Amino acid sequence: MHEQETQTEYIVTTDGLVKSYRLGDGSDLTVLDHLDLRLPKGKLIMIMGRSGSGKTTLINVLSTLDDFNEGSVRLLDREYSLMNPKEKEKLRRNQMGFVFQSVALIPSMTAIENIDFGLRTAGVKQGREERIREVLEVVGLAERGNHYPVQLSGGERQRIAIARAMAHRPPVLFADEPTGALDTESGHHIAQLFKDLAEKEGISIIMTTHDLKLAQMADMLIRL
Amino acid sequence: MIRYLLTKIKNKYKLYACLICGMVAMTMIFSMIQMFRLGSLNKVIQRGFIKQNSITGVYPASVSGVLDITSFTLQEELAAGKSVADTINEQAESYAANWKKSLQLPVVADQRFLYFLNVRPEYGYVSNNMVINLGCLDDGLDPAAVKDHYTLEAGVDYYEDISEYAGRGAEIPEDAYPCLISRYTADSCDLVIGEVLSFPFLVYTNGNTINDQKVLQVYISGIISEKPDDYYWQKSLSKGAPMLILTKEDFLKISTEYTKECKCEVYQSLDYRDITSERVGRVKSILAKLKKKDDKLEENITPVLESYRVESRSVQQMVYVIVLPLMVLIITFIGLISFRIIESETRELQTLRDRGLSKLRLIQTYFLSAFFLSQISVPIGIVLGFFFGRAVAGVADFMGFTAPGTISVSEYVFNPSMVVAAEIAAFLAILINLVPVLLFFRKKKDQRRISIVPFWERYFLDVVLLAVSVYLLFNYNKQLTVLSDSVMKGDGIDPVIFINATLFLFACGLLMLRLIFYLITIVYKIGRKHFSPATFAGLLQIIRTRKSSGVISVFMVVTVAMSLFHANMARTINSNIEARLQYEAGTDLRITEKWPITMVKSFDDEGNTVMKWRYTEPDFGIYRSLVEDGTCTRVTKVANNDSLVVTMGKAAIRNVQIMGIQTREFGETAILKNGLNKQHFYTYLNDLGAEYEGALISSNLARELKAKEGDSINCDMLPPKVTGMKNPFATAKVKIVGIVDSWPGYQRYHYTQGEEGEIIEEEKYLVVMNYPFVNANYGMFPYQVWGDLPDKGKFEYKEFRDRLKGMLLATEREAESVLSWENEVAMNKESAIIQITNGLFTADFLIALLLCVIGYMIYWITSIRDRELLFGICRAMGITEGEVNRMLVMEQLFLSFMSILAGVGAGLITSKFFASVFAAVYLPQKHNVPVFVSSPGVDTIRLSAVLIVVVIICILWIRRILKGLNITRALKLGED
Repeated sequence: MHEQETQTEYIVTTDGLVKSYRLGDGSDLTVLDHLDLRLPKGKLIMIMGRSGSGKTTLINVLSTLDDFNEGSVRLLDREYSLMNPKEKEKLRRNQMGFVFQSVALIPSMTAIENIDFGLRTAGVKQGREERIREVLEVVGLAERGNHYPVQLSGGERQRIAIARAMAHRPPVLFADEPTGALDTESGHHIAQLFKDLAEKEGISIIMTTHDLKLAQMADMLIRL
Repeated sequence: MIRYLLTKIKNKYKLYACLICGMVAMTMIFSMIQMFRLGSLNKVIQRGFIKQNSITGVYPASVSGVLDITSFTLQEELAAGKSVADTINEQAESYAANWKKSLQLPVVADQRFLYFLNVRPEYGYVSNNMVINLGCLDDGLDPAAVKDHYTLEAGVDYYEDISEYAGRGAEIPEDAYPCLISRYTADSCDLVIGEVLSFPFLVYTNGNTINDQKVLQVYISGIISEKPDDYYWQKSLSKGAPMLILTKEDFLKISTEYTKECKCEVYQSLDYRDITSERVGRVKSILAKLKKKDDKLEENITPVLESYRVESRSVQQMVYVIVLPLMVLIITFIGLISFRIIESETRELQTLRDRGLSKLRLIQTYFLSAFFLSQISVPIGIVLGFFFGRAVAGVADFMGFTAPGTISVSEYVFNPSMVVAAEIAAFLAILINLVPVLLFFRKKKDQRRISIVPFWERYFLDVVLLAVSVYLLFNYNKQLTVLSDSVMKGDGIDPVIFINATLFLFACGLLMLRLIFYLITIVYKIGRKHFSPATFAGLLQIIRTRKSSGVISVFMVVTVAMSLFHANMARTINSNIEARLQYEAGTDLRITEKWPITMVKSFDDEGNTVMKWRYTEPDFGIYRSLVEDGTCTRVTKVANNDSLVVTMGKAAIRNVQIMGIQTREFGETAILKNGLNKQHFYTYLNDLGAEYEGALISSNLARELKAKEGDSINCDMLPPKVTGMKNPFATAKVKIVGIVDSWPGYQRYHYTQGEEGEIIEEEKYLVVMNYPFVNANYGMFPYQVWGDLPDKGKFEYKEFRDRLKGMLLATEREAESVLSWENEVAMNKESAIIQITNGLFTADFLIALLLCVIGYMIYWITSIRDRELLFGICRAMGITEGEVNRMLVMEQLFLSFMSILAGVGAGLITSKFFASVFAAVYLPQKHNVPVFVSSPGVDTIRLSAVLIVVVIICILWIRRILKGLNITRALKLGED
């Protein structure tokens, strides 16, 4: 009964998670050392730490982009170590959304098409147009749907990337330094958007940052 | 700065390697053109001399003149105490040396005659009033070598024992001088060996005699003939007045004793290999000056140089216009690579600008790197141009590379203009390389955005260019006859024809590309709601990035179209020439022998004197032996001349070609391409064979006579031209059993040049009859021997010709011509125009293909690297590797395969439309064999196969990149 409660309460859990890299001299560098995490659903969770502390590694492992060495990672009861690459791809496609620090939009597509691409990738066949309109409203760029990425500012581009990441209503959205390339004000707007998404759409947002001010907006803060 | 440049080049070595490839291609082509241009011009000159030699049978670069050494010209020298002999010698030497000094051409033979003109021997021996030249032969190069130039046919040489021949004429006095004579002199003066001639009166042409000195006596010691194939004999012993040939020493002695006035004829054979294109003008003007000064000077060089002047214009134009599309392609290639370099360095350039580096300084950097690379390219380009140029000059056909020596490429040598041309190419390459840099700095930062539609598509440049070229093509098609006449007259080729073909090709290619994009857009619009993410992204990528990716598409379309068009044109020209030569020959081997003709006096019924002639038929056994020894599978006699006068009613046609054939043998020996007549030519042969008094006539003759099958026509035969008689001597009535448009060996159109250079087209007519009927009605007249060869393509023409010549010579016979169409084709392939066409079209094809392969691969590989982040994002979002692959394959499919298809389409359309215009240039004469487009498909397959393999390699390469793609690293790379 207790276990059942845990499963419904947390979006991601890790137990004894170890991730190490083999260095050039043959030695191992352990970045994540027996990490036990319980990340709640529908919250804005931020991972903070100095450079090289393993923020990106952690988010990559949690989002199945990277493998781990020991322990277990689960997303909504699904144990990563028991999944093959195809299942992981399916998981990323349907259950996760991604926002990256770099320009993550496809330059040859307009904002609408970029979001549409995300929806298609997630296998959404019906009601895409309505959903695109909705998410554009959510990110506050309803008027810029037909613009190409180069015609948008950095902050706007990142908001479109968020719209794309959330359009298919994934339970969790991973964002690696989404405000890293933005000015303070734009960064604050993005963080606020994440906060609203978590609250209004019930999406769990797991993001990395090194900005202390932004970290104050988090529902849960993990320091590495 | 240098270190920065080197680091920059090292970091993007693939792109810079491609840039060097483009620059090398450019310098190579420029220098190769110079080699081809001068080589072809020299080839035109050399072939001009060889052609003249084959037509006239005379050494083709000879200068001759006559010097009168009179008492007036001798006065000064004699007064200065020189001997008469020395003076004559020196004057003759100085006369001949003047030409050599002025023309500065090596002398390969120097024939001289020194003689007293028209000396009259003592009457009684010879016919009254007979005069004879008394002189000597001299060799200006080596006086002692005179003996090597003649063969003693009968008698003995100078001062040898003549006792065997003594007593045939008068007794040979001791102080008589020996002389040699030619057969011609012996026959025309009725002289025999051992005969003594006295010259009691050395008579001038004005009839004055000199004093009564001791009588000069000369005896005939032998009869000589010229050694065959000896350049020395510019003037044959059988030409001009008969002559008694003394030794030079005796002649000079006699000239001192008897007369101090003589003539000196000089015949110099010059080494025409030294008359190169650069020296043509100089040689021509010197010859004109020499001729102005000396009205007795004659030469046969100027006509060759005149015809060279005419042909050289076409050759030079052709060299440039053929490579024009390739040059455009290379420029596009360098531009394409330069743009990609700038694209890949945009951030770096921006950073450098932000750090305060001026635009000028940055442009300077690019200029330096372009200069550095271009100067590396120059020597490589020259060397490659030289070797590649010689290799392609040696092709026997389009892409038909041959073993060294098969086709003569000796004229294609290194020349300094190649270096100049390579440097010009390097300079151009630098300019092209700088264009993207300048454009980059001209744009403001916010203008550096993707623009979806390329400028040519936006402004319908393809449609406009196509309209212009179609208009020009339409006009040229209307003026095909004028065009052909102008080419035949030697007015040169209108370069606009070639430029227009290039224009059409580019425009057609661009239009096809536009249509492809329209098609993709339609496909996208129709199915966009239902596409998978990969198809959706792939199609959008094609549509939206067509400005940048379209460059490679344009490049590919144009490469394929140009290569195919050039391949088709080269093959069309070669095939048509081959078909025409084969048709003109009518069979594999055609031998025409010189038939002896004897003129005899006879009397007609009224007792009037009439001249009659009789041909002596040479023994046919030699030709039968060709079948026995396996040289030919069969041979047949074909009576052939154009002395027939055909009448029907009031209509009469003269100079009609008559062909007397033995139908069965003719059918087995002759060649006629299908489709030139309404029926197979065997049908006509059967009809003729069935009717002894039947005849086949050409359709133009039927038209002129208004005759039809079953009608009868009168055929009168004119006497041979050598008789000088003009009235028909025999007549026959024949029944028309068939009307043909074409017939083996019958050329309907003949062309001659009028006095004012205009081209006169003459239509020829034909009547074919049974050989026995011809013999029975017109008597025996020369026939040709037609032979069918067993191993077509392996026939050794020269070996056969020499063997036949030897066989005929053994029975004192001579071949007038030995024609093999295969040899004609081979000879034609060595002509400058055909060598340029095959060589440069092959070069175009190979270079374009190479550039296309390099350009295509580098475009995709660099673009895939650029898109690594994008693929990382896609993979992170859960798009499978297979879907990314599908996305790329779709791009390749639409861009590459469609481009290849568009190129093939554009190439075929251009070939079809421009074949007639090109034919007017290359094959200006009307012919029985109409121009046909040869597009064997092998080139399309070859070209497409190479490109498809390249596309597949690219796909596999991309797959490899994607397989090794680390998503997190790709994302990190994007952040960096």
